[in-house]
Amino acid sequence: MENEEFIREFLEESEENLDQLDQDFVMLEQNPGDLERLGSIYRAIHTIKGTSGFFGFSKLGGVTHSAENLLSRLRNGDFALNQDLTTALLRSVDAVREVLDNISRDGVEGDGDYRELNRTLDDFAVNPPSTDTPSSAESHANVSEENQVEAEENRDRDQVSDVHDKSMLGVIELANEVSGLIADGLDEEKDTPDKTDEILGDSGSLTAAPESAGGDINEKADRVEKLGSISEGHHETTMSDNKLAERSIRVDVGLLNQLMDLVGELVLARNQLLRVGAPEKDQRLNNVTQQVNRITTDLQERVSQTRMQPIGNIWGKYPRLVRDLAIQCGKQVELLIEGDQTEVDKSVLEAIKDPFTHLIRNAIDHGLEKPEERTAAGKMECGKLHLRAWHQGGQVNIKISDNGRGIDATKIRERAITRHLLGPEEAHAMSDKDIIQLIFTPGFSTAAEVTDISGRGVGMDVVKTNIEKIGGTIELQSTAGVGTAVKIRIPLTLAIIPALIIQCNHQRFAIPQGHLVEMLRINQKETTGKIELIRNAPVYRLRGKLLPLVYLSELFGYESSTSDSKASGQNVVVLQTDNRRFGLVVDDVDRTEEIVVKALHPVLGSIPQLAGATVMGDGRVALILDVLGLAGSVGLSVQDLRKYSQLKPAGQSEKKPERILVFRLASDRRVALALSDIDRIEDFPKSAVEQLDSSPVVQYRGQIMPLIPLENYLGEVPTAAGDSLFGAGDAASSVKCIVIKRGENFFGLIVDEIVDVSGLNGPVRDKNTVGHPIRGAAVVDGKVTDILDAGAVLEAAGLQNQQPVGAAT
Amino acid sequence: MNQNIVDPSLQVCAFRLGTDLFAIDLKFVQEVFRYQECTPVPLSSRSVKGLLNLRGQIVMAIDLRERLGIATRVEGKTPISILVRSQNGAMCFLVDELFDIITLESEQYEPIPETLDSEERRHDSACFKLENDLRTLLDVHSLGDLEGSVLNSQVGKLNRLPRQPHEAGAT
Repeated sequence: MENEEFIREFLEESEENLDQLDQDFVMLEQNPGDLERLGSIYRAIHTIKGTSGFFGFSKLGGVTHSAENLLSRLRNGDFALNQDLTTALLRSVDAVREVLDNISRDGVEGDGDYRELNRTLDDFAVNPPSTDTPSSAESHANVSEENQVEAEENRDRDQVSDVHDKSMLGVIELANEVSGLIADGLDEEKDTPDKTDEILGDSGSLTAAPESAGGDINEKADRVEKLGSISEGHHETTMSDNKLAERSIRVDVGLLNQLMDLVGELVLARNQLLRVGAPEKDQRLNNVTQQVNRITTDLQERVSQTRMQPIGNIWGKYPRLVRDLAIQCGKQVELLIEGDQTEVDKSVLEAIKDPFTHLIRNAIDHGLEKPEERTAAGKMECGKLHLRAWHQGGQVNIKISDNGRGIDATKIRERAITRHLLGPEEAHAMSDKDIIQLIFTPGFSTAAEVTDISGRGVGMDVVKTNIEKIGGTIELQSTAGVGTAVKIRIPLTLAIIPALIIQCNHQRFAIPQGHLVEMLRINQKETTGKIELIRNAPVYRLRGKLLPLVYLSELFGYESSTSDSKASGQNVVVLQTDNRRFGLVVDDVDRTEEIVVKALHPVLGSIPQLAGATVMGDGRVALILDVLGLAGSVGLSVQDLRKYSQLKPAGQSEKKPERILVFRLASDRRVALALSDIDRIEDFPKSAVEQLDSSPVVQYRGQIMPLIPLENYLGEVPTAAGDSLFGAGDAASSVKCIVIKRGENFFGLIVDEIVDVSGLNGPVRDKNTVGHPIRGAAVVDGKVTDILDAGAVLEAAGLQNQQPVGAAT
Repeated sequence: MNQNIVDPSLQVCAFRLGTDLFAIDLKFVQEVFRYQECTPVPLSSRSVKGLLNLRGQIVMAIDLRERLGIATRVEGKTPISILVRSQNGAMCFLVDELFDIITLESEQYEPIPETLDSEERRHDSACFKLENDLRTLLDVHSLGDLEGSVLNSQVGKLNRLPRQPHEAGAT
């Protein structure tokens, strides 16, 4: 038993040493004279060798012995390190890793054969390869293949996380404080039994009584304390033999997770306590409750911190990866790493590991050019790969950029057309930036030939999906010939995410905020447009683009919301995922909140629209919606939408901004009419206005021209303007008219004031009520203006089909 | 499957659903608590009553009435929750009333008669004899296995192939 314990410790220690070795070797290769680094490599290998002898791991001993021999000659300065030597030594590191994997899994060394490797190493120790030996491509390829296999094996093995001593001690302190406080609180409660009873009665059957909630907390605090002391004990044992231990200690990840869960429970119990302990009843109880509240919040924060790890933990492997890939592709690559101390939750780190490796492979394989190609293009022979991470706004930003050949949008465009992803006109209408995003399209990127043409793209859709799965976003920028940059934004932690809380059928749901674009309220009565149907799928025109809608209540089979709420307006949450944008129609939008994500029971995991569940502040469970799953419920495909988006709403000219005449009605309302509809603008003295069938008319160019008081048809309260036309009125005053000509007939629209001629640049929010004189509304010269439909006005006035009336002469 | 019932004695947790008495193996029962309001899960099977918060842990509640096709519970009568830990994870069974913990000696229970319709004894693992009553022992794992039925909102009778009843008492 004890032996097992030692072996486990040995494995954990070696794991770390190996990662460091990879990095050290690559650094050493670049700077062979770094004796200090060489010394540290030698010591690391020597330690593994010594321990393996102690446990009787002969294969491990053999490999490390040969490696050590070679290293000692290097250290003595007998010859210098070169690429072949580095490769051989790295292979020995791989071999050690493989054996250690086997030991950790099965307890034995496994059946790998390392004799050939040992021979190579021994050989090199005697006959060092000359510095200029061209490296054999095969052997490098092997190395990297081994790497890949071994990396996969490794993935699940990383069981230990380093915890900062400080935060761990903080946790223990806080836990002590909580338990002390609660004990106080309970004592006080005992002093006032009647109050306790009262509160008990209040708490009802569903909530825990203060005693049980308090007991709960007490118990939990005890457990937290116990966990704390365990890790403290651990601390002491590791301190003696490891100088690093003074700054950090090793804690089992399982223990951390337990701690996290317990703190979660503590938070909920705290919430109950806050509700039970009515503030005005007992000031002392209230004080204690508040203190427990504060400490719990602090505790939660610190425990979350213990799970944070610097991103450098996964980036540490990259120098080796980049080196191997570069040799394999015959390229020169300089890797720049910036911000590797940026901390991210361990689970996030795990989730981004693979997508990152992929992006780096892409950049070296397809992005960066071969040295001769680079020279020809006038660039430095050595390509640059730049990794950068930084915190911003509660998220982590990561940028991977290279100065390679970039992505040629023209070629992708051609490719998209030949693969029938886009029509030719459509493809040419899209900007280069949009075209480049096509490499995230699943069907597009998996085709092998595209790689050669586009310079990038295998499995980019997988990268995107993986990043989006953890609530992140990915952005791609590329300029042909200059380089490519991928910018990724990921949340700090997966356990707690900001979410928008919405309501549907009186039930609360949480939507991860990373997918949220905007929120709309579609009001059927207003001029904000309406919901239309394309092949029975509801869509909404949002700033000229079609937004497919998903009704959450329909999707979940609830009784559809009352017609009442539909009439008053609909709340639409615009969500984006996977290049798809859609609107989710919900009953109500509550607020945004930080939620703790909990997995659903596996049985419910098969419902694609649900991502998980969370406990809300009141202790009730709310479901978390899966935006990707919801997008699958959109009735229209992306192609459909693209096609329909091309269809512009009727009457909206596409090319030049429409010239419009802006004028004002007596009610001060701004209205505009297309200039093309207008014949002239006239001023008639009031005395010229005559009456025909109780409607105002004037004699105009040999016709009897009806005058139309616009207000009457635009839902305005008729002003005196219309009526006063017939009155004796002031003979000097005049009537302003916009004369429109339909066929041979003239019509005069009475307006109060002509404002200006302007261009209709902005989008028109469609009214879409057929036959309404107002076609829509738009912002003209910074002011909201109604756009008039001349034909509809005449129709409303009952003048559309009027026969020309010749004026009696 | 039948010869597997070799445990000399078996402790069961008996409960009532409507007028009927059922039981589940006690070793899977973790705790019993009063019903609390739960959050319904859309698109799930009707048997899934919803999710509830049990001291910070989110647990799925299954209404055994729906699961066994017994008439829907009368409004206003609050069920009792039995927290079980099955191979499908922790979940909660909602029953009408807790009856008792019964220790069954080996001669008190036997395999389900083969003559019973396979659909009928889908969740049964054994039947047991009380003084002058014959009751069935339900299989916790089969009850909790909503795979394939979770998206099916049909009540009770699900069109599924009959499963091999789980061996009661098998260790």
